[in-house]
Amino acid sequence: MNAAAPVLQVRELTVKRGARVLCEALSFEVRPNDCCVIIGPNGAGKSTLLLTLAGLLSPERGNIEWSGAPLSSLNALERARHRAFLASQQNDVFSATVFDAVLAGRHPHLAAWQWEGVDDVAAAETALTHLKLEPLAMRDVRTLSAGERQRVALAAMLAQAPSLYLLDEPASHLDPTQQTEALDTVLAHARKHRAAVVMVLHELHLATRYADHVILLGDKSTNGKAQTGSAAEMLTTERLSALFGAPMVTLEGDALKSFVPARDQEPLIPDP
Amino acid sequence: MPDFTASPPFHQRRQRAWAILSALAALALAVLLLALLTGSVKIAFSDLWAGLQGHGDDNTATAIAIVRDLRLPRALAAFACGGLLALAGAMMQLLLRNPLADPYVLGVSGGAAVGALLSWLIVMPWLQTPLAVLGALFSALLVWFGARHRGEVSWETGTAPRLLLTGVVVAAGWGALIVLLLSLAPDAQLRSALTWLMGDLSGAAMPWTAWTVLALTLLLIWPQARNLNQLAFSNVHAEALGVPLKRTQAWLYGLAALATAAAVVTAGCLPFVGLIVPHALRLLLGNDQRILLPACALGGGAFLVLADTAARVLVAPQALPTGVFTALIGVPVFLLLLRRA
Repeated sequence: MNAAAPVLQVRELTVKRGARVLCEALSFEVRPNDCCVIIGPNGAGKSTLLLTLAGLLSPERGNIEWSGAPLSSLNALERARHRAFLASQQNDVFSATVFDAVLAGRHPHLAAWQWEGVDDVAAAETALTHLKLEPLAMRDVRTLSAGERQRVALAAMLAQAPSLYLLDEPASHLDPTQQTEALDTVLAHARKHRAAVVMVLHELHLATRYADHVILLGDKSTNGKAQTGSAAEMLTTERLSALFGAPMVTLEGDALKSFVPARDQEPLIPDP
Repeated sequence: MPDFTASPPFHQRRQRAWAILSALAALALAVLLLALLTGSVKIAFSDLWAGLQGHGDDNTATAIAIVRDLRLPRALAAFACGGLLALAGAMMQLLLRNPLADPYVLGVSGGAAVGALLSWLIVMPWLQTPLAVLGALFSALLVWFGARHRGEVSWETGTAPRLLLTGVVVAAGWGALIVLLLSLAPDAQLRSALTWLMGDLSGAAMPWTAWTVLALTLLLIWPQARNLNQLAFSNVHAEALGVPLKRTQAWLYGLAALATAAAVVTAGCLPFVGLIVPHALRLLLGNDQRILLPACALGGGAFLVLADTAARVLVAPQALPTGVFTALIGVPVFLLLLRRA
C-alpha cells in the first residue's frame, strides 16, 4: 500500500439496494487526517454506502481503493488490518468481558495459531484508558448501557489501529458530553496515526464540528445524486433544507454551529 | 486501573488453556476407567491389570472378556457420542447465535431416525446404518436449501430466523413420519425402536466411525477457534475483523450436521447432551472457543460415559435407557441454567 495515496479513493461508484439506486457515479477521496461526514434522511442508504466503502457489500459499479490498493486485491484479513468498521448497533447474546471485547480488535494482527501477547494487551489497555472504560473493564458486555457498549466498540477500533475508520452513527446512544469526548478521542487517535475517518452522522452540530468534507446522500431534488464538497460548502441551510425536505435554520454561538428544522407556523396537531 | 499486562488471566491465557484441557483429559480417562470397572459384575483393578499383562486365572479371563467385549466398546461409544453432540451443540449455538440452540434443531436426528425405522420395517436391519446416514444428510441438506433466501442462507436470529424455523418445521415433519412408522411396526420391534429413539448404547460395537468423525471435526474446527470468537460478538463484527464469514458458517453447518449424524447413527437420539454440556462449560470456562471446543469434546464424552454408567448400575442387572437418564439429568440442569442466564 502506498502511504502518499489517499486513504480512501472512490471512483464512479454506483450502489444499489434491490432495484433502488442509492448513489450513482459517486467520486471522492479521503486523505490522511481527513474527516468525511455522510449526511442524509432516514433510508437514504447511508449505512449501505458505508458497508460498501468497508468492502462488506459489493458495489454495482465503480472502483474503491484503499491507500492505492484496489479493494478486489485484498483478502478479508488484509482489509481488516486497513480499516475498522463500527456497526450502527451492538447486539450481544454471549457473555464477554469489556476487556475481551476490546482485545478482539487485535484479531486481524495475529497469525493463525498465535495468542494475544503483551503488545496486544497493552494496545487494548490504552484503548480502554482513552475512552475512560477502565472501571468497566471486567464487566460483562451484556450488562452495559447502550452508550457504554458504544464506547467499548469504539475502543475496540482504536485497538485495531486501522488507517481508515468507518463509523455508522458513532454518536448514537451517547450523552452530549460523551459524544464530543468520544469523537474527540477517536479523531485525535486517527490523526496521530495519519488515519482517515468517514462517518455517518445525524447530529448536525457534530458534523459542523468535525467534518472536513461532507457527502449529502438522498436529496430528492437532485434525483438522488449525491453531492460532495467541503464542509463549509455543503453545510448550509439551503442545501440541508433541500436534503431533508423541510426548512432548516442555523443556530450559532460560541464558535459553534448547528442546523435544526424551522418551527412550524401552524402546529401540526391543533390545540383543542 | 488494574495492570492487565501483569495479571495472570491475560498474561497466561495459553497456559491456563492447556491446564484446563489437561485436567479435563485426565477426568475423561478416570471416568472411562470407572466405566470399565463398574457394572453388575464387579471387577477389581488388580484383576484387570493382571489380565492385561497376560497372566491370570480363569476368573480374570472372564473379567477381561466382559471388559473387552462389552464394557469397552460401550464406554468408547458413549464417549465419542457425548463429545460429538457437545461439539455439534457448541457449533450450532455459535452459528445461530443462540446460547441455547441444540444440534437436533436441524432435523438431523429425525431424518436418521426415520431411516433407521425404515430398515426395521422392511426387515433389513443391516440397512439401519446406511439408511440412518442417508436420512441425516438428506435432512441437513433439506434445511440448508430450505433456509436459502435469494440464493443466500439467512442466519440472523431475531430479525429473520429462517434457518431455525426451517429446521424446526423439518424436524416436526420427521416427528410425524416417526409416529407413522411406529404405528406400522410389528409389536416385536416396537420396544427396541422406542429405546433407540430415546438413545441407546447397549448394542454398540467398536465405535470406529464415531471416533473418526469426532477427531476429524475437532481437527477441522479447532484451528478456526479465534475466528469463531469474533462470530460470537456478531456477524458484521466478525466480517469487519477479517473472518471469511460465509465460508466459516458453511464449515460450522457442515461439521455440526456431520457430527450429529455420526452420534445419532451410533446411539440414537440422546437428548440434552448437546444443549447442556456446551452451555455449562461456557459458564465454567468462559466463551473462548480455543478452550471451549476441545473442552466440549472431552467434557461431553465424560458426561455421557458417566450417565451411561449410572444407567447401567443404578438398578443392575436391569439397565435403564441412557437417553432417559440424560434427559432426567438434563431437564433440571437446563431449567437451572435458564434461571441463571
